[in-house]
Amino acid sequence: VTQPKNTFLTGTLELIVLQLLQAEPTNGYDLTLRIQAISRDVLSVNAGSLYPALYRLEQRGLLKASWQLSETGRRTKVYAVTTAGRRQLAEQRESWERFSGALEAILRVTG
Amino acid sequence: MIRRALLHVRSVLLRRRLEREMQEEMAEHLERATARFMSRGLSADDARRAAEREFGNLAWLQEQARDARGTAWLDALAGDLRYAVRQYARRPATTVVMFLVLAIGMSIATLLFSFVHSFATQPPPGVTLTDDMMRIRGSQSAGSFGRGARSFGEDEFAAYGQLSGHFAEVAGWTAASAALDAGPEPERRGLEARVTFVTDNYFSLLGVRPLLGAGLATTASDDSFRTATAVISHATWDRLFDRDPDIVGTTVTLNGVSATIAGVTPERFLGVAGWGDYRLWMPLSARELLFADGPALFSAAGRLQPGVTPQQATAAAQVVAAVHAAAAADADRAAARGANMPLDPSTEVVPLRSASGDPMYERDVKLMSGLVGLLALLVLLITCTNVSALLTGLAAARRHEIAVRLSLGAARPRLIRQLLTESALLAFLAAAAALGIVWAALRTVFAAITELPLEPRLTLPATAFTFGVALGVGVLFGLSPALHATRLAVAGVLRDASANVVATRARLQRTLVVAQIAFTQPLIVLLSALLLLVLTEFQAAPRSEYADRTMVLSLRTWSNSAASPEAAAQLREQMRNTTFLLAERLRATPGVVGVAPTGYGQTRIGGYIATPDRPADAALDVVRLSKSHVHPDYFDVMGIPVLRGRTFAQDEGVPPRGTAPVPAIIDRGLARRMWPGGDAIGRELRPASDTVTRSPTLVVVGVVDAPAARRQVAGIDHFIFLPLDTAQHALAGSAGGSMAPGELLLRTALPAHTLLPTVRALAQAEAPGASVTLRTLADIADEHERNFRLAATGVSAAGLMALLLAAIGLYAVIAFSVGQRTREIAVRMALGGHRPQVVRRFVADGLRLTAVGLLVGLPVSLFALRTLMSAAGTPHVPLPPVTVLAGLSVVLVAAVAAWIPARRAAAVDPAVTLRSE
Repeated sequence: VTQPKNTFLTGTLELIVLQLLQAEPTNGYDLTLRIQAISRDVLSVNAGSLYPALYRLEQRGLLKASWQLSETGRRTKVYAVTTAGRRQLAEQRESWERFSGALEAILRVTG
Repeated sequence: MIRRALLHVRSVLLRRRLEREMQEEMAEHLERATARFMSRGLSADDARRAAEREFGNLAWLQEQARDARGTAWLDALAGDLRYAVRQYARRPATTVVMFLVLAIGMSIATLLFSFVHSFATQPPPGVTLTDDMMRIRGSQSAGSFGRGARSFGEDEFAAYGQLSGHFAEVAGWTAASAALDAGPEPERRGLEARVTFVTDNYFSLLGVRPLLGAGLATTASDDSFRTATAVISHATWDRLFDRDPDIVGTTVTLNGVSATIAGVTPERFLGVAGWGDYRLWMPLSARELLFADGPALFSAAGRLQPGVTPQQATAAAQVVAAVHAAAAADADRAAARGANMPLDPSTEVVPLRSASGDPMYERDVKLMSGLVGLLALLVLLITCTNVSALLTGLAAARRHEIAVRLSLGAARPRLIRQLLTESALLAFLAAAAALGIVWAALRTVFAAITELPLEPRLTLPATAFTFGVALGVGVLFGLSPALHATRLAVAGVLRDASANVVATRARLQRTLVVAQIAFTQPLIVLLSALLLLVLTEFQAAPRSEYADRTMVLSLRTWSNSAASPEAAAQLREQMRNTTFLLAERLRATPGVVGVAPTGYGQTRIGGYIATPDRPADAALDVVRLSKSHVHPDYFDVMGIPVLRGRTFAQDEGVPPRGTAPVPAIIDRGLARRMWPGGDAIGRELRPASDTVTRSPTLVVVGVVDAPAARRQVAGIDHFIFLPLDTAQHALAGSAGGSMAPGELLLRTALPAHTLLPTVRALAQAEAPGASVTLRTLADIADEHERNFRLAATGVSAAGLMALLLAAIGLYAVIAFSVGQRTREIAVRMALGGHRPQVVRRFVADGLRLTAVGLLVGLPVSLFALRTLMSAAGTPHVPLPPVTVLAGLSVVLVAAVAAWIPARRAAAVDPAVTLRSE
C-alpha cells in the first residue's frame, strides 16, 4: 500500500489552493501544474493530497465547482472561490503573515 | 451553518452523481498527465504508467475523497445492512422467532403506552383540542377518598365568565335525565334520555360542528312558549331514527315539552362528560321548560387568554371559589338550615382531557403511568432477555467467522458496529411491525366500541416511544453479545480449543436462563390468576327456566327531582302508589302470571353462624352471603320452589330493630351447610360478629331451591331472603328492606317479548311522563354473558400472548444453551454414552436451572399475586394451585426446550459433530 506523503501542512495546502483559485478558477490537473510552476518545482502537490483538499473545501462551502468545456472541448470540473472562501482566505493570509513575520524576526534576531 | 448542512444533505442525496463526477474528474486528470508524459517522448503505455505513479493509489484516493465529502459512513452502513440481511437469511427460523418476540413485546408495550398517553393527553372524543382549552373544575374534600367533583351554582359560574383577564371565553353546561318520546310507537316512548343544557358558545368552544343541521338556536323569550331546539347524539340518531337523513326539523318530546331537532353531532362526540344511551343537547334557556324546579348546577370549560398560564387562571378561580363559599355559608346560616356545604371547596383550571373533570385525575394519571409503566417494563425485560439470549447464541455460533475477520485486520469497533447494525435492523423492522399491529388493534377494537369516553390513539409520542424502545433494544441488547463475541482470543477460537471461552459463555447462558424464568414466572402466575378470577367471578348464570318469561320493569320520573326533601318524599310516595296500581292492572292482564314489587337488589353481608346448635365455625366466615328483601310473590314469579316451610305472609315486614328475630328464607345449600342432616325451620342465625355488622338475628321460616338466583351477584355462595317492607318508602330510615318505588318483577305465560308492548303501554298510561325500562331476565343474562365472554376473551388473549412470548424466550434460551454444548454431547456419545442417558442428563440440567429461576422469581410472584387479590377484593382464588400450575407450565416448556436440541445433538454421528465444530 503506497500512501502519498504530505510534504507540507494541510493548512498551508488550503491556503495555496484558495489563493491560486482566487487568482483564477481552474480544474484540478491545471492546479497541480500551476503550483509546481509558480513554486519553481519546490512544492510538488500530488493528486492524493489535492483532490481530498478540494472536496473538503467544497464540502465546507469555501469552493464552488462547475462543469465547463476546456479549450480542447473536453468536459472539465472548474473550481472557484466563494464569498465564504474569500473571507477564509483573508483570515488565513493574515495569520500566515503574522506567523512568518514572527519566524523571520526570530531567525533574524538570533541569527 | 445552514449552508453546510445543505451541502451535507446534497452529498448524501446526490451520492451517486458525485461519485460519478469524481471518477470522471480523476480520469481526465490521468489522461492529461498521460498526454503530458507522451509529449516528452514516452510510449503510450509508459506514459500511462508514469501518470498513474504520479497520481498515486487511485482507490485509496477515492476513499479519501469520499471521506472528505463525509458520506463514507453511508456506504459502510449500506454494506453493513446488506451483510446483516445475508446473515439473517442464513438463519430464517431464529430470525423469525426473534422478529416475532420483538414485535409482540413492542406492540404490548406500545399499546400500554398509547393507553396511558391518550388518557393523559387526549381530549374528550370528538373535541378539537387546542392548547388554551381548559376545564374549570370544581372540587371538594371527599374525606378518605381524596377529593370529589363539585358543580358550580349559577352565581359562581357567572363569576368565572367575568374573569376576562384570564379567560377569552367560558362555556358551561348542566345535565339532567328526562323522559323522551321519539315517536308514537310504545317502544319509542318513555325512554330515559340524558339532556345537557349548554351555553351558546359550548359547541364553538369545543370545536364541534354538527354532522347534520345548523345546531342549536337560542330560544327567544317571545317565542311560542313550549318549544325548544335540541341537537341529538350520533348514537341516538342511529338507534332511534335509523340514521334518517331528514331528521333535522322533526320534533321529539322531552318531559312533555316538544323540541325541534336542530342537528346531529359527529359520531365520536359524546359531550365533555356524562353517560346515557340517548344523549341530547339543548340551549340553557330550555332548561326551565323541562324542569320547573331548583337552580341548575354547572360544569365549565374555558379558553385562556393568550399568555395566561393554567396556574394563573387557577389562582384567580380559587379566589372566586372562596368568595362564593363564604357567601353560601352566610346564606346557609341565615336560613338556619343544616350544614350541607361542600367541605374545603376549591376550583382548579386544568387542561381539557377526557377525564380531567375528576379531581383525582392527575393522581390517576400518575398511578396509571406507574402501573402500566411497570407492566410494560416487565414485558420489555422479557423481550430483551429473549432477544439478547438469541443474539448471544447467534454471535457465539459465529465466533469462528468473527475470529477470521479479526485476524484479517478488521478493527474491533468495526465488527461491533456490524453486529449492532444487525440487531438494530431487526429491532427497527419489529418496531414497524409493532406499530402496524397497534394501529390495526386500535382501529378495529376501539372503533367497534362506539361510546368509549376515551379514544386511545397511536400518537406521535407513542410512535417515538416504540422506535426509542427499538433503538434501546437494538443497541443495548445487541451490544452485550457483540462485545462478548469480539472479545475472543483469535488464536484460541481458530484452534477451536478454548475451554475458557466455552466456560464464560456457558455462565452467561445460565444466568440468562435463570433471569428469563425469574421474569416469566410472575407474569404467568398473574395472568393465570387473572383468568381464574374472571372465570370464577363471571360464571355464566344458570338460566331460570322462566328467564324469557320474566321481566323487570322500572319507571322513572325526572322532572321536579329535588326541589325539597318534603317534595321528594311526596314524589316517592306517589310513585309507590303508582307502582301498586300498575301491579294491580298487570295482574289483571291476560298472559301475566305473577307480579311482585322488588327491593334494592342484593347486598353482600357479613357471616352468620347457626346458634345455639353450632359453635362459631371459622370455615363459615369465608362463605359469601347475599341478602335481598323480597315480596311474598317473588318466589312464585321467579319460579323458585319452596322446599320446606313457607314464604312470607303478605303483611309480614321487618320488625323494628332488636324486638324480634327477622323471618328469613334461606337457600338449600346454606341450610345443608348450617344444619347438616337436620331441619332448618325454626332455627336461628346470629351474626358472626355483632359489633361489626350490626345485622339482626334471623329465624328461618323457609328453605328454597334457588339455583336461578345464583350468580346474579359476582361470587356469592348462598342467599338469604328477608321480607320486603312495602309500607315504608325508600331511604326514609326504616328497619331495612324498603321497597324500590317504580320497580316491578313480572312473569308471563308466554315468552315475555310478546307482551312487551302491552306492558309498556299500560305503564305509560299509569305513569304518564315517566320513562319506562323493560328487560327480560334472559336479556339481562345475555348481557351478562356477553360481558363475560368479552372479559374472558380479552384476558385469555393477553394471557396467551404473554405465555407465547415467555415460552418462546424460555425455549430459545434453553435450546441455545443446550445447543452450545453439542460438542460436549458428541464427546459423551463418542465415549460410548448411552443415548437416552445423555439426553436425560441434559434435560435434568435444564430443569435444575429452571428450579433456581422459579425459586428466584417466587417472592415476586407471591407479592404480585397478593397485590392483585387485594385489589380484586377476593381471597377466593386458590393461591397455591395457581402458583403450582404456573410453575408446572414453566417446567414443561423448559423440559421440551432442553429435550429437543439434546436429542438432536445426540442423534448426530459424534465424528461429524466434532469435525464441524
